[in-house]
Amino acid sequence: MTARETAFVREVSHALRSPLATVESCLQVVLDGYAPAPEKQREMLERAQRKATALLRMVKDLQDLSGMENRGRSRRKSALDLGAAVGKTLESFRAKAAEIGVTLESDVQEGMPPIRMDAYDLETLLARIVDNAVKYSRPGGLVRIGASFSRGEHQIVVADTGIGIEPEALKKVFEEFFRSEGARAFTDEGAGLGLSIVRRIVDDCGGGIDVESQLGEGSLFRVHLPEQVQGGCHA
Amino acid sequence: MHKGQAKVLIIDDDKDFVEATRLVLASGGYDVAWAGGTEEGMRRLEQEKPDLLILDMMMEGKGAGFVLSRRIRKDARFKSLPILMLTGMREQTGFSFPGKDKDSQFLPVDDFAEKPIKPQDLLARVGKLLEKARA
Repeated sequence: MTARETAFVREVSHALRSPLATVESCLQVVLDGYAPAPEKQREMLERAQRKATALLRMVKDLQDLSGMENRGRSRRKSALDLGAAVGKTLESFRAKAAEIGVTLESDVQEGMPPIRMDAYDLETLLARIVDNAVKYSRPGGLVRIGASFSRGEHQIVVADTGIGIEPEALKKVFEEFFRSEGARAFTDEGAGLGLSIVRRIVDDCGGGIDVESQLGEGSLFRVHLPEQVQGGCHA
Repeated sequence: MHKGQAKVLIIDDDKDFVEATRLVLASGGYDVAWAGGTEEGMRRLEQEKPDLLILDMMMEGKGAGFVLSRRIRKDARFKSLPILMLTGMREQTGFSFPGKDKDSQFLPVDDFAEKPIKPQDLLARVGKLLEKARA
């Protein structure tokens, strides 16, 4: 294994092992009688279940990352309707957003040329950014996704009124397994892989992604994907 | 000092693990306080004045607990505070248990155990550390 692969395996092991240890601890206190009251037993089982759900999501993230490596040469590029893809993504997050009390809005430019890329990549890219925006939003928050085309580039902008990102963490948000202090305090959900997956897709397309954020006010992610690039995910 | 009066501070960013640990310690008659990060941990140390600290090594995505253990030891107020460090990373850090090949300068804690820790093992280790501190 290369040093990078070894470091990756170490990160994955820790990311999986810590929540697994917690699942075992929560179950153990119930089984060994440290939580005698039925309502406390239920609470500990629910804690274990939440951790197990988070573990499943993490495994899905890892599968997406690994799938990107494996599909590198076999991506099937086709002409896709970016506006329709945005609409489909928002629909898939409608229930989760409603549960938290977050409003989803879109602003899609009419008459954009089709975007040429792998359909699974586009779906993953949109879903990961919107998931992030919804996950770090508070009740009453707003997530807005825009899509446009100008000067030979498709642009996707996702803005939220969520918790924001600390200035010192902005440079690291696309690193694998990175989660800011504020993100960790806000929710246990996530292993810090979603935005690194987005970054990989964007890089493969020869595009770019940047982020602006105000702590406590919200974040804005801007992706641009050039229409004509050498290799990568565009034809 | 009676065991029932001993206060244990847990510094760990996994609130579910903390709750499981709290239940075990409460069954042993300990008062338990909690902090979810290093800065809050330092504040709670000053406020709570615990008799023992349980510290997670891999907090905040990195080894923040490791850095905090060194910071605490440099503070004269907490020089003799017993520290039990918990981690899920022992096999990767290469650290072992006190009295064996752990370097107390490098990792200035009194005991070191892997997560998950069996409830009885946790109670035994906490009891032993407090006993040693009282001696």
